[in-house]
Amino acid sequence: MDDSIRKYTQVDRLVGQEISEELLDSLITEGRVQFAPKPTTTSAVSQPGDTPDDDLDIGGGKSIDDMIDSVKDNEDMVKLLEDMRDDMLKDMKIPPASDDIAEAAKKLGSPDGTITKDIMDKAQTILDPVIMEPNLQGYSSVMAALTGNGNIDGDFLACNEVTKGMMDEWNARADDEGDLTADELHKQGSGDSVTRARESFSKKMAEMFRYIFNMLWWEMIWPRLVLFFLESTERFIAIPIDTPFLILRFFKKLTKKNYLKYGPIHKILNKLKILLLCKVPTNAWDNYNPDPEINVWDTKNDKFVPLDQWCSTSIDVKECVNEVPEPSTFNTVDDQENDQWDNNVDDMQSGLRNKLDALFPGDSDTCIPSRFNELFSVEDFEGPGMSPECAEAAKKVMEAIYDDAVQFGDYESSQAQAEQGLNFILNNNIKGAKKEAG
Amino acid sequence: MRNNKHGYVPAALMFDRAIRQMRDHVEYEKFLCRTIKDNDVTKQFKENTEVHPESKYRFMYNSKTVNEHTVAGKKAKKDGDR
Repeated sequence: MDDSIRKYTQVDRLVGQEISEELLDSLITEGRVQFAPKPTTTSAVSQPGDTPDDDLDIGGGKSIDDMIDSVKDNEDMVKLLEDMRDDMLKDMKIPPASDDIAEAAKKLGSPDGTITKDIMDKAQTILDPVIMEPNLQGYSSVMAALTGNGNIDGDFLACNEVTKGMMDEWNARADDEGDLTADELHKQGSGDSVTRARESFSKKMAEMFRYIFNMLWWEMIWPRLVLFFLESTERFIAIPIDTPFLILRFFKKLTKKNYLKYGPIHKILNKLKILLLCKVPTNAWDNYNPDPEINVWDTKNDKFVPLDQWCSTSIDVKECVNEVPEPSTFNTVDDQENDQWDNNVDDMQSGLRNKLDALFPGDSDTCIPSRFNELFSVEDFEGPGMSPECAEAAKKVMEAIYDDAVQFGDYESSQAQAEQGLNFILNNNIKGAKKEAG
Repeated sequence: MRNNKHGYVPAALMFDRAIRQMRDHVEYEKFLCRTIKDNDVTKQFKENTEVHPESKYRFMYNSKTVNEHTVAGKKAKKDGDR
């Protein structure tokens, strides 16, 4: 390494030096490393087993045993919290608010569509990322690392067969690998099956992104671009030149009189509009649907109409041109035009949000956007576990539970009571909490 | 504490996700402890994971291959090889 660079290399300057307490303190990761290692000298990395565990001082006068005891306290605390939570939820009986929710709950095993704690547990198990993702891919990279074979074989589990204990089957499979060492299993798992799974997943992700970008471009951005340029051109041509400020041409209402005066040009522009907005070729985007939230100026009726309606009627300019022009009553700039322009901008922004919301449903535990179910066809799945229908049913059930929790009951009071219970556990040490509980 | 006509405390759902994340965190820390030391406490860690209702923790931290990374697993393997 060049000497001029060497002196600026921090690591190089630390070699053979004692690390100060200040530097060690600054290396402590907030909340993750509880015990700072004692000041030490950088040297070759020691091998496991070089230092007997009992002699290892991890700093702050603490030992490994203290750290393990602290983890035990955490475990006890979490157990108390889980028991408290289960006690609060055990008598849950939520009647279905709609037929859809009843059907979803029945799929998960509810006889009459009522949502109980058991149904909720099933839904949460289905939606758990550790369990869901490998099932939907038909492959588990964790399983591959453990067994050398990540394929999940067999038929789909019925939704009501999903339980918290279902991964015990994978655990049993992980134990069946005989005398292979952990390293050998890992190498085996790193072979073709992992590569295949990774490629399959990448392909699906690429397809999903292609779908998103195509949809965003063709259905949201492209029509607005086309309308902006073509309608601006139409306005520029049609509005009389005697308008005092040239820029106002773009904001004046395009009346039928103006339109008819320059009919042949508008005929061409209109045909271009129809071609670009209503006839997107299928090899470019085969799912194209004119967006009803985009408004197009309908010169025949002197008003804005939704794009899908405009495309379906396929306005014929020739009819307009041959009509007798009516006396114009819209010669002046009025605020309605500007408001309409602002509304168009708002529509564009809200339309974009609505599209994305439909694709990615809001706060829920699922990662499956509803429109992408078609990308994960049944043939792509190799094995058992939950089908997309199960995931959808689980998602509906969880949403119904959260909706019920927010809507019914004395929410604020129950929230206060739950917080009180939680604070009692957190603010007292575990021994104190155990003593109180008797 | 039953403040809901459907038989449960709605606010418990608020903490459900946090409690699950805490359990994920604790199970991981228990496994790390098992890779550092083998004593009565870490043996209890393994047993507690074994009996927990959530099977994913058994799959992730108590399977044969993963267990071989722990101190107890290494000892058992060494004893088995002798």
